[in-house]
Amino acid sequence: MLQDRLAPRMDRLGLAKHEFTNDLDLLRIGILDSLAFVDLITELETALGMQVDLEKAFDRPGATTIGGVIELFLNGK
Amino acid sequence: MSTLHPFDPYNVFQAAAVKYADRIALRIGEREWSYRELETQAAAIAGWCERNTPTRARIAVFGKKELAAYAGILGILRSGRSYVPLHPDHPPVRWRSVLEQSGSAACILPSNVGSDIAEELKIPILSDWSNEAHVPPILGQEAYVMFTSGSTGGPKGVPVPRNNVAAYLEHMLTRYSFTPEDRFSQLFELTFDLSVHDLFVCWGSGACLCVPEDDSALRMSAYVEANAITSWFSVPSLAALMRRMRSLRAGALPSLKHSFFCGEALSWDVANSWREAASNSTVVNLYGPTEATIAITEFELTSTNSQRSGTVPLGRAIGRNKAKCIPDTEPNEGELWLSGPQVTEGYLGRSEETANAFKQLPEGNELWYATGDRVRVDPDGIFHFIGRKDDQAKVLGHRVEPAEVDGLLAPVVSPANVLTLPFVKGDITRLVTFIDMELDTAPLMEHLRANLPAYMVPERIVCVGAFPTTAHGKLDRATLISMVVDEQC
Repeated sequence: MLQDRLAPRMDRLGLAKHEFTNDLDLLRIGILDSLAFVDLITELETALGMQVDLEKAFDRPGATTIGGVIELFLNGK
Repeated sequence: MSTLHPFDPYNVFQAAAVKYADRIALRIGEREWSYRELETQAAAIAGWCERNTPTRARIAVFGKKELAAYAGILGILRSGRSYVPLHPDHPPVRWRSVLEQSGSAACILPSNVGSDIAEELKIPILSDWSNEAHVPPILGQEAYVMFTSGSTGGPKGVPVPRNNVAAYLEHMLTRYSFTPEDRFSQLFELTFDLSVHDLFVCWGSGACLCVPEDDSALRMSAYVEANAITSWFSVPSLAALMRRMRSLRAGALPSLKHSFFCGEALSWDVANSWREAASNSTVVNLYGPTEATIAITEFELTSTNSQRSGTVPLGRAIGRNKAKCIPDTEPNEGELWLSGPQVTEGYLGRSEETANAFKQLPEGNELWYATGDRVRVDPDGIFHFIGRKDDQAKVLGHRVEPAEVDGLLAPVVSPANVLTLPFVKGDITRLVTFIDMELDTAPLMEHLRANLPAYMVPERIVCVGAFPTTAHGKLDRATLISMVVDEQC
């Protein structure tokens, strides 16, 4: 689901599918800015029917990587 | 002969440095510097400026939120010179334009960023001032030159005299009860004139300026709590982002005593959420274009003037400034004109644009700045923002002329085939560029990123077969916007 949501942005930046790894930092390489990152999280919350503690989540290192986002939702219930 | 204004920006810092020498003036992340330490740095930088640049020269200061940038600004002002802030993350073509237009005589470079351009332009560089001899404060005339987006290509500079800044500081430091115990947020980039409020209202109060170590907008309530921030100043978009993150719970920001917003329209929705979160704080909406020095009108929100929807009024002119509505369609609606001690005299090297924006009224010889903002003035003399006369947009508080973005694509796409528009999603304004032909947009985005600061780069470029038109044959902007506003990611 995450990959589907980010695919248009990755296409626009010329990033290939194999670059979509858990270590990919969405903010650092410019796939998303902080506004778009919050957009993404709230869209995922709606799609998954759950809420995460956003500020607390961002205190963790790697929170803005693909793996960080997945972990956020796995541990966010 | 110029005289020293008691609220001159360097003078207010100097007075605090004498009175509160050992109090903390600056905190960046976990590191702190006292007023005495900061003044020592400024005196050394001023010494170098005095020995290496002409009197009252302009000096560029490259810097993010780091000691060198703050000490650099203070040192330049102490030397009676004027600072020109440059952001290391902005594209080099923009640095060059700013350096050339401002005629900067020297550069303060904390790191090597920008050194190649400074060397090419043959201007002296200061990166280590540890052994420089100090000089006492020297009287100056101009405080800084800030560059904003220009509709005719490239950034345009607004020189701001020190007395204009002093007029603003005089109002803020007498109107609000700041104390040396206060702790100010420092969220604005130094290339944004609202940062001048952060620095000099704080230091004029003998207070501590708290700079977040990283620029993450995603941990703002934690930053307020960890730094015990008492005075907050940001664009409304940041508050909107915090609201979206559910950080504005009732009572969530108890340390705040003063909250100021400026740079773009503040919605009542966001303002009311902020008031609930910062329940011990006054909340003030400020308004002011760079040409009128930081902010020139204010509106304090109270329990009796609160509304549920729409945007918070701009309020009334502060201090000895004047605001006037020049009516157009309705008697109380029209363009907002500003006059008074904070209004500057024009743009750097742009006489035509200066003449178009800085004017006199038939009944007097005062200089007025025609803002391009449309307002309504109510029976109490309070100004309410309606919109713009032109296409100018505000993105995260930064002024953006869409024509500047479109113009950069001109080598590839004719101006008739490209249209950059602002749109609002989640209470936050963003940009999107439409092109009425099929093109590979990746190289165009690359080109924009290489030439524009991040806030001016559109969120995306959308290719449409042809621009939609209304029944009257006009360009249908609403339909274009609707194509992106509901789209995910």
